[in-house]
Amino acid sequence: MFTGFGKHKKNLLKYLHKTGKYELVELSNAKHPDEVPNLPWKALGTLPSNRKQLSEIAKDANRQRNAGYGHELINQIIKEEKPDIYLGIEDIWAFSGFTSRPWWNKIHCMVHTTLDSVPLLPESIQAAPKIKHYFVWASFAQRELERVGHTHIKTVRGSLETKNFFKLEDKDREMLREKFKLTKDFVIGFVFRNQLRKSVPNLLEGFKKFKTLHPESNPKLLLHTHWGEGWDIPTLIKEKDLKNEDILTTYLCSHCHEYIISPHSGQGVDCPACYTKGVMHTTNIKAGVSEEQLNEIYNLMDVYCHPFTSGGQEIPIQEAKLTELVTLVTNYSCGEDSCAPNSGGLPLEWAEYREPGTQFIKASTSAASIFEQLTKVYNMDFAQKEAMGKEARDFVINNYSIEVVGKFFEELFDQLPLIDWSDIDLTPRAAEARDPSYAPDESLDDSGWLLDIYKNILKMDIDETDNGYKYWMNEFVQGKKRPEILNYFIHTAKKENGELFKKTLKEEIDESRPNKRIAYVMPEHEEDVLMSLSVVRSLRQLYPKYDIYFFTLKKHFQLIDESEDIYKLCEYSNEMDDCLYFEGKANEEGLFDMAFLPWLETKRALNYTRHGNDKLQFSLK
Amino acid sequence: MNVLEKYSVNCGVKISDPMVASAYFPLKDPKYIIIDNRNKYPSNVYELFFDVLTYIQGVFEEEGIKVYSFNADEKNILAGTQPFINLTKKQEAYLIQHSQLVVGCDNLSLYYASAFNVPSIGLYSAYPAACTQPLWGNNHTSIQSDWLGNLPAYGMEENPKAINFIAPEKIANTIFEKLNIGRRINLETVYMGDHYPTKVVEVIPDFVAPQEFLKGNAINLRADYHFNEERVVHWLQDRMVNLLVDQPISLNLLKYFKKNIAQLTVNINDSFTEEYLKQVASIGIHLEIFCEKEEELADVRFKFFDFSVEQNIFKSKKDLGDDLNKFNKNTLFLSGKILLSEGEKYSCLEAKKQKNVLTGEPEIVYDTKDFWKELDHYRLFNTL
Repeated sequence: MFTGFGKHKKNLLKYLHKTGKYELVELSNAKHPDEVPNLPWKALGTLPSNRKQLSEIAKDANRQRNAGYGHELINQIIKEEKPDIYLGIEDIWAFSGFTSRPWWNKIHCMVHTTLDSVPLLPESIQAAPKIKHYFVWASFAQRELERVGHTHIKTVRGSLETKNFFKLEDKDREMLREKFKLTKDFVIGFVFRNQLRKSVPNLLEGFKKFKTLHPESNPKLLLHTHWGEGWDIPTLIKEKDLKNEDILTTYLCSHCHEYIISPHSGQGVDCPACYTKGVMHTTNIKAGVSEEQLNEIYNLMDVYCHPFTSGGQEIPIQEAKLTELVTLVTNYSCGEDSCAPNSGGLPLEWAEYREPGTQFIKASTSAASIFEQLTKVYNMDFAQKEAMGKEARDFVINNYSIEVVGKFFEELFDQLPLIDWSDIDLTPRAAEARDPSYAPDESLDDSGWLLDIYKNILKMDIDETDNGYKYWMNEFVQGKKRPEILNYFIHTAKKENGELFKKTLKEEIDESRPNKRIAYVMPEHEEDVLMSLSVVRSLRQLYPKYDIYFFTLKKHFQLIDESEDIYKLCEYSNEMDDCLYFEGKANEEGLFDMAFLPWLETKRALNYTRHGNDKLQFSLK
Repeated sequence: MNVLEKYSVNCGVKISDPMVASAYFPLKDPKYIIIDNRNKYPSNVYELFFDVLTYIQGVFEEEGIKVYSFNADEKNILAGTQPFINLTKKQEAYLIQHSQLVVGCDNLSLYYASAFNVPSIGLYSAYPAACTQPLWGNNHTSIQSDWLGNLPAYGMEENPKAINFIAPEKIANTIFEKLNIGRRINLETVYMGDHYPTKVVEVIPDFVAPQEFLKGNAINLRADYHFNEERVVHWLQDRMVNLLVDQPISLNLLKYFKKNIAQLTVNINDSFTEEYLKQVASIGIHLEIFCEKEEELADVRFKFFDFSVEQNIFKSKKDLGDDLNKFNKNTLFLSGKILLSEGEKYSCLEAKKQKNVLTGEPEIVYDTKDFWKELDHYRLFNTL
C-alpha cells in the first residue's frame, strides 16, 4: 500500500465502495490468501499458498515474478468471482500474457498503468490493440502511444487523497519554521525514496551554485529521505564541498513518533522529544512520518525541487503542489505534466542518456537549470508566488484528486453493460494452443525464421524490438544452430500448452455427485501406475461409497483407463505431493475427503528397499 | 519390502488381484515368447540377449516357438527376433496375455504377465528382485545380478553394468525350464570382459574393400597392427574412424580427413615428438595417448608434460584375477570384436596370426600375450 499503485488503488476502492453501487473484489498481489488484511470489501491474495506449488514456481525466476502479479490464480479467481469489470493497476509487465487469457475481453477489461520512458516497452505497444480501456498516468505516455498509432489511450492520473495536504495558516507555518530554526532560511525541499533514479548529485550541484551566488538567502536543502540506502549523500556533500549544516533531513522517533528537521548526523540519534537514546532514524519505507507530519514538512519549504531520470507520476510533486509550493520538475516523462503551463510548476532542463541494458532514454537534470529556476522562485514577489502556488493546488485537485479520478471510473463503469456470465465459456480457445509440431520454413534467413517460429509455434506476434528476439539473434551470432533453438521452442510450446489447458483441482472434481472423494496419486512410473490397480481395487472395497480420482501423468492414462474402480483419471501436476493440498487445512477448503500419496516414499524418498532383506510379519494378501 | 507392499501398507489395504485391460492385436504365431529389454534405467538393460538367443534358437525351431521382442525404437531392435515397436500398452498386453513366456528387464511387461498369470522371467540389477518383482500370480522367476560383490546401484549409472554379468546360459536354461523343454546349455561362464557386450568392428588396413562396405559406420582402424598410409586413406573415406597408431602418421592426411577421425589413439613411444602431437592437436583432432610400458610411464608423462598420457589400455592374463583358477586348456571364448584383415574375419589378433577365421562358434583360448591383451572383449566359459 506504500507504492504509488498501492495508494491509488486504496483511494479508488474507497471511493467506489462509498458509492454503494459495486461489489468490489480486490486482488492483493504478492500476498497469500491468509495474508490479506481485513478490508471493507472482499480481498483475495493472488499468490498460491501451497508450499510445494510455491517451491515449484520458485524454480523459474520469470514464473516467480509473474506469480507475484497474480498469474497463477487469476484465471481461477475470474472464473469463481465472475466479475463484470477487470481493472488492472500495476506496471504493464504485470499483465504479460493476460490479453490471451480466455476471459480477456469477455468481461470489460481495463488497464491503468504507468509508462515512464521512451522508447516505450514493446509489450505496452503490442498489447495496446487488445486492451479496449487503456489508461496511462501521464500525458507523455499517451502521446508516445498515439505516435505509434494507438489513439484509444487516455491519460487518467493516479489518484490522491487531497484533504491531507494543504497550505497551513501563515502563523502556523512560522511557528513550525521557528521550531526548527528555519525562519531566516530559504528552504528547498525534495521528498523521495532514496533511489538512484532520483537525481541527488544534480540537485546538490544546482544547490551549491545557488548558495554561491545567493548567500544572502541562507539556503537550506531539505532531503526528506532515508540516508541509509541509495545515494551516499554524506559523501556527495563532501565531494561538492558543501556544509553539512546546509543539508537537512527528517528524523523520526520510533518511540514517540515525533520528528525533527536537522542536518544529518548518522542513524540512531537520541530523541529530543521523549529523550530516548538511539531511536531516531531518517524516514524510510518501514518507518515513515504520518501524512499530517508530511504536510507540515512540505509547509517548511519555500520551493519544491524534484529532479529525476524518469517516473510514472511522482506523487510527492502533487503533494507539494497541494501545499501551494512552486514545484521545479524535470521536464521529461511524467514530469512534463507537472511543469506545464498552468500546472504551478517550472521546468528543469535535462540532457539525454541511455540506461545500460534497456537502452531507455533517461534524463540527467541540468544543475544550471536547477540553479536558474531556484533563482527565479527566490526572486519572485509574494503575490506572484502565492498565485502560482494556488495554481499548483488547483491543478492537482482538478486532475489528480480521487474525487475527479474516482468520478471518471464511476461514470465509465456505469456506462458499461453488465456481463451475462451464462454466455461465457472460459475453456481455452483452440487457436491459443501452441503448435509444437509446426515445421518452420527453412528457406527464411535467421531473422525471418525466428519470427516465423515465434508466430507459428508460440503464437506470439513479435518484432525485432522484442527482447526474446534479440536474445536468440545473439545466440545465432554465438554459433547456436537452428535445431537447438527449435527444440527449445518446441519444449516451451508443450510446456505452455500444459499450463494453458491445465485444470484446477476444483475443476477436476464432479461436484454434482453426492459421493465422498478419494484422491490417489501415482505420477510415475508405468509399472507403479499399473500395480496401483490392485491397491485401488482394495480401496474401492474398503470405501465403496467413495469416488476414487486417480492422479497420474497423462501418458499413463492408457494403463488404467478401463478400471472400474477408478471414478476419474486426472492429470498429475507438481504441487500434488502434499495430502493437505487435496484434503485442505485450516481455512483452506478440502476438496477430497482422503488423499493417498504412496509414491512419496518410493519415488520422492527411497524408503522401502533395504536391499530386499527385510520381512513382513503380517500378510498383505 | 516390495514396492507394491509399500503402497499397500501406506494405504492401509491388502493387495488385490488387479483387472488389467488389453486390446486385440492379430496373432500370427500360435507359440511365441516375448523378450522386453526396455527399462527406465539404462543400467538395467541387458546387453547379452544375442548370446541367449544363440543358445535357444535351435531348440525353438524344433519346438515351433517364435521369439518376439518389444523395442523402444528402430535403433534398439533385438537382432534375431520378430520386433514390435510403437504398439499401445494394451496391444502389448494382448500379446503378453497370449504368449508362452515373457522375459523382461524389471519392467511393465513382467507386471502384465504376472497379472495374466503368464510365465515370466525377470532380470534384476538396478533394484533387488525382492523390491520390484511382481507379486501377483505364481509364475514369475527372478534372476538377479550378483553386482560383482557390490550393492545395487538403484538406478545410478554403472560401469561396467552389473546386469551384464548375468550369464546368458543361466537365462537360456531358465527359459527351457519355464517352457518345460527338457534341454540344458551345459556351460559355465567364468569371465566376462567389461567390453564384451559392446560389439566392435576393427579393421587392419592391410586390404581394400568395396567403398560401400561399412560405409557410414564407426570402426577402429588398427594402423598399430599394420602401418600403411595408402590403406589408411582408403578406410578413412566415408567412415567414422578411431585411428590407432604406434608411429607418427602424415599430418596432411589427418588434416584432410579430420572430419572422419573421431579420435587418434596413440600408443606412445620414442618415434613421437611433442611438436608432432601439438600439430595434431592444432588440427582439432581428439587425441588419446597411452603408454604400453608401465615402467616408462612417468618418464613419458614428463616428456609429454602438456598432454594427458594414460596407463596401458591393454590387458594381460593376470587381469583374470580369481577367475584364473577356473581357466584350463579347454576353456572356450567368444569375442565381442570382429577383426577384419586381408578380407577375412577373426575373433582377435591372435586368431588372425594363427589364421583361424571367425565361424561364430566358440574357440579355445590361445593363451598368448597378444590374446590376453584383448581380454576386455571376451567371454570365457567352460563346458560342464
